[in-house]
Amino acid sequence: MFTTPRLLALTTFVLTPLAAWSKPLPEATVEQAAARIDSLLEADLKRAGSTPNPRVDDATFLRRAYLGIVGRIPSEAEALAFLDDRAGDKRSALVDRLVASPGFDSHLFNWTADLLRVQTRQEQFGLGWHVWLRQSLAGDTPWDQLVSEMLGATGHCVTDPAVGYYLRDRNMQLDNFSNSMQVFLGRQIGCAQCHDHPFDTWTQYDYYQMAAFGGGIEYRSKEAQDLIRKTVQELSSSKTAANGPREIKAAGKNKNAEKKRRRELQRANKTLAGQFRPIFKDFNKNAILDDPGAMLKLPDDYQYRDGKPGEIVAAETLFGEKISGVAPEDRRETFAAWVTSPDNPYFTKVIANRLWARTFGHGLVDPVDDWSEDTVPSHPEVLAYLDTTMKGVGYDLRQFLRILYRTRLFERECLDEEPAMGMPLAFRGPTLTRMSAEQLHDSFLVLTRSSIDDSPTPAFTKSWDAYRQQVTNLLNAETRDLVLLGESARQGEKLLREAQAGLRAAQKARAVAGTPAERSAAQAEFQHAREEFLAARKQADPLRAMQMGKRAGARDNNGSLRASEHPAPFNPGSLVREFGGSDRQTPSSSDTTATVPQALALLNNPKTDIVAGKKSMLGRQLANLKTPRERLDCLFLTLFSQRPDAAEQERFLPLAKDPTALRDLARAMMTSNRFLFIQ
Amino acid sequence: MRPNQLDEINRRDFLSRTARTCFGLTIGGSMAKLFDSPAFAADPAVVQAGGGKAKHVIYLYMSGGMTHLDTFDPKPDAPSEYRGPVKAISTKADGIQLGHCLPGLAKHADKIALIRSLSTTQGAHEQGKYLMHTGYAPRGTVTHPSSGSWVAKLAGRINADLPPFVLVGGANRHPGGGFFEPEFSPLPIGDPELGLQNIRRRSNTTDDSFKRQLDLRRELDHDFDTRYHKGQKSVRAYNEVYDAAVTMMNSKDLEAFDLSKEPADSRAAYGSERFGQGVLLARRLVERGVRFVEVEYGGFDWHADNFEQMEEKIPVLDQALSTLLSDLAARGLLDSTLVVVATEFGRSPKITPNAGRNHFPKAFSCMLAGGGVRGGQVYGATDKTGSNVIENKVGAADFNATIAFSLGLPHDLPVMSPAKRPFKMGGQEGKPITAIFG
Repeated sequence: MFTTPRLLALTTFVLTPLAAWSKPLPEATVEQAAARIDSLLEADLKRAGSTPNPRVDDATFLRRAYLGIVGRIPSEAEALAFLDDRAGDKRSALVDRLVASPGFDSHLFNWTADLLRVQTRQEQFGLGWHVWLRQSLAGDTPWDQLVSEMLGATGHCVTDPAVGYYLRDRNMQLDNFSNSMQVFLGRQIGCAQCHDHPFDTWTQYDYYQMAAFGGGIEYRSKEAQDLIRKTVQELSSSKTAANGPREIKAAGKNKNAEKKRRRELQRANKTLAGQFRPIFKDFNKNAILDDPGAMLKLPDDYQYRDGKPGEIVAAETLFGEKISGVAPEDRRETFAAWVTSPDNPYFTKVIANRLWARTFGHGLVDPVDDWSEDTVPSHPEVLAYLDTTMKGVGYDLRQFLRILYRTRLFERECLDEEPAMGMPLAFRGPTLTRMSAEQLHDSFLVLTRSSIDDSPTPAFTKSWDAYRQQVTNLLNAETRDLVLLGESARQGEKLLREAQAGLRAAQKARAVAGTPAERSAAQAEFQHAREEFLAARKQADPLRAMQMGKRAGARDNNGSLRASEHPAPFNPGSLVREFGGSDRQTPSSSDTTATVPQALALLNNPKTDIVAGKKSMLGRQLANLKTPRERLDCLFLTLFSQRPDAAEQERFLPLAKDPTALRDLARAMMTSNRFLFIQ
Repeated sequence: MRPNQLDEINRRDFLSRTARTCFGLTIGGSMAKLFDSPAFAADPAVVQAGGGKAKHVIYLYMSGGMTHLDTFDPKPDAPSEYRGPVKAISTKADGIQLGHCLPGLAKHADKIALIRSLSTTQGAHEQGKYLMHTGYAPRGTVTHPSSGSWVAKLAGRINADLPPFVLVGGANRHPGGGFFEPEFSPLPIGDPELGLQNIRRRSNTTDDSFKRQLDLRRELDHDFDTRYHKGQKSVRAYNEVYDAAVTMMNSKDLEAFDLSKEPADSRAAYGSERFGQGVLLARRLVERGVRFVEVEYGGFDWHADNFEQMEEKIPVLDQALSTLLSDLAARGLLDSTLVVVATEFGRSPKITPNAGRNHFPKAFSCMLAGGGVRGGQVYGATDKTGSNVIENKVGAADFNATIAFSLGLPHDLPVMSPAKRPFKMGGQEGKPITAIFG
């Protein structure tokens, strides 16, 4: 039922109108594309003797649309506006409005940043990459361009913030490469880094051939290198000039003396350069450069016959368009173009399938990141059509998702049973999903504040601009200022070395301390040494001392910022992390597993108490409502996005008469599965 | 094989009440060994072979791939491009050397068994972590349970009020309970200093209100649960964690999670870093009857500046681990507690131009102590540069089978997944290393 191979004829039929699309897509085009997806799915169901699930009611659709598209529940006012709207096309109107709103950007950013493992506070580039990604998504940078900008990025993060993609895995180019293959092309070839792939055709040599496209990447700053060279030249030529031309002339008479003089000059320049290096220590952590002379070599323990340990491997692609013999300086651009090419057999399908799984809860290919040559999607025709659609919308994720949200599938009741892992799903409806940690976080904002502003705050951008300005200032600094800065940086380094030695001594003393008294004395000593060390480390870096540091971003003092406006990842133990919010360690590490601390947080954490306390908007609102009926409606609309039905009214109206009982009801709703899950 | 747990709990209740009323004592600390009767009977054959002594496991996981050459398998005679600036130090056990950042552990070398012959084929973090935790390579169609969940399932609880498996500081994508039902999933503690948060009722909530809230939750979910409870494991899981949360709120052993109850010098002895405090938390939990506590310590992925990072990081492990071993020994808990130090792979022996070491699954080291493991020994060996295992190769499945053996659990008992496929704690073909016991 899932493998009818007549896709070509079908796809060419719609290819032409798609290619001519412009943004935002005309209504008729969206309708046509969504209908096409539905008819393909429904034809498959019919062949299997099955039927699609019925259409959900308005309230369920409303909640699903808000959470799925903008990542939060609707406010009471938003819920009422939709439920009481009599227009026949109100569902598609809601989808279109939400897709075009800033809430869409926030929600898509969380998802993409999780996929790419963006850590806001990694050195300084983390913030730049975060800001760049947020703005690129909000500005509808096409996915192929966005990926290509990251894969082809080079230089310092202030000039090319997309370079964060590489700096994220500083000194781990091979891991970064494995991740690229998995994230963008769905191919898991990481095993082949150490040995031939156990159940795919990948050999270790293949792996190195592909990885060789990144073989020229070095994690240091050309900007710093150039500036140091320039400064040293300037200082040394002024020194030579001061020494006078006669001396040079005199030295020129003797060849040996001349050689000696040159050597000395070189040595002096090297020492001089060394004095400036500490200023630019952070530069090397925030920049990469491409060295055309650097080549990837086979590892020392290479054990297969097709190569020798330490042998240089030439870059070559192994599927899709065959590319080899690339000039070293073109390696990365070639790779970026190859990955993101519409002809790449995986690139378009992988992102289309990822977005499909994000929308409906299960991939047409599942798991979404483990494709192989013989992957068979559950619905080949649908996937082929999505591939065409993605190309047709020019890799515009907003328009692509808009089409998915406008399908009948998005309006169907969800499945009673969870799909089996890695098994094909018939898609009679979407799956039941637990809210993500960020959806829960943002929904709390709706509950605790009557209205919610989905637009981003300027805090991150401001900090980032300030940092950029400072780096620019440094790069344009006068030589005498650099001399002064170098001086202070060296002093800082010296202090740091001393503090480090102190810390080591304290550590050693602590390890060998015998009696409890000695132990606690040694511990105190250690603690002290550690503080000194941390202080020295902070000071050792003039750039770090003079710029904003890593605490960039808005302060969420009153708890009003959306999850996407926080530095990521959230701290362990925070509500977001308790609910499985991404730790940004592995691609898409968000998790929705139930845990006891989650239940405890919703039951007992004062911060999740939405109805008590002076700050509670909902509490105040309920207190101001006159009748039990109004209070009950308010609670149901706010938490469940619907009015209570007749049975619920009968059962719960008595509770709405008593403030304590009403509060208990509100808290119970907060902890209910009905609230936590998206049907 | 499953004994009567109620008896054990009643006995515990009786003892702690008597201790409190008659002697003003709180049960815990050295008294805990009173409770050391197992909740399951170890397999006689296993006991015969020297296993089955452990009742608990403290599993310390060094995430990112801990360098073997610079810690458990130093090579003082290797060329400097392998050895680097690391010195091998002698230890309390004759003939056993450790890297110079482990002076504390050196004093307890008579308690430990170093396994220097681990070898796998998983050189990527995620896959390697998964393999070490579950004994299986990752597959797209099933999530295998991790060793802690296996122990929870096969050994059962000692203390009915506390979860059998606690995970401290775990990263996301931990395989957790895998395909097992939710009750065997780990209880995660993000930050040991914060302990188990929100365990007390809100101050503005009465007991009656709280009960009504719980009843209303069920009522509100009636239709939802009718529809989804059967087919959706995640829905069942939420209903279970609410029950478990309420049980825990009423537990008398909650202070196990509260490090502020620990004397200041003992807190200091474990080290002020989050990891050290997590290890201390593990000891408190094990004392009160938690079966398996995993404490994760992240950040071992040193592709550059290996030796600088080592000087910062290994002493933290050294302090916490050596304190744990002496603390458990002093409390008489070392024989009944298996202490494990594990990681996903070692690091490439030849030092890179960045002074780093890359991933190296072909040969690496782990450590076992207590739980019937004979101290002061080394099992397996690598060649002169730590590049190849030359004796007694151990795989991830063997390693997990060894944990099972220590607890007297059947490492080869098949448990069916929902898709009716058999899986075992000792992986497909894991064999316990019985030679290190007794």
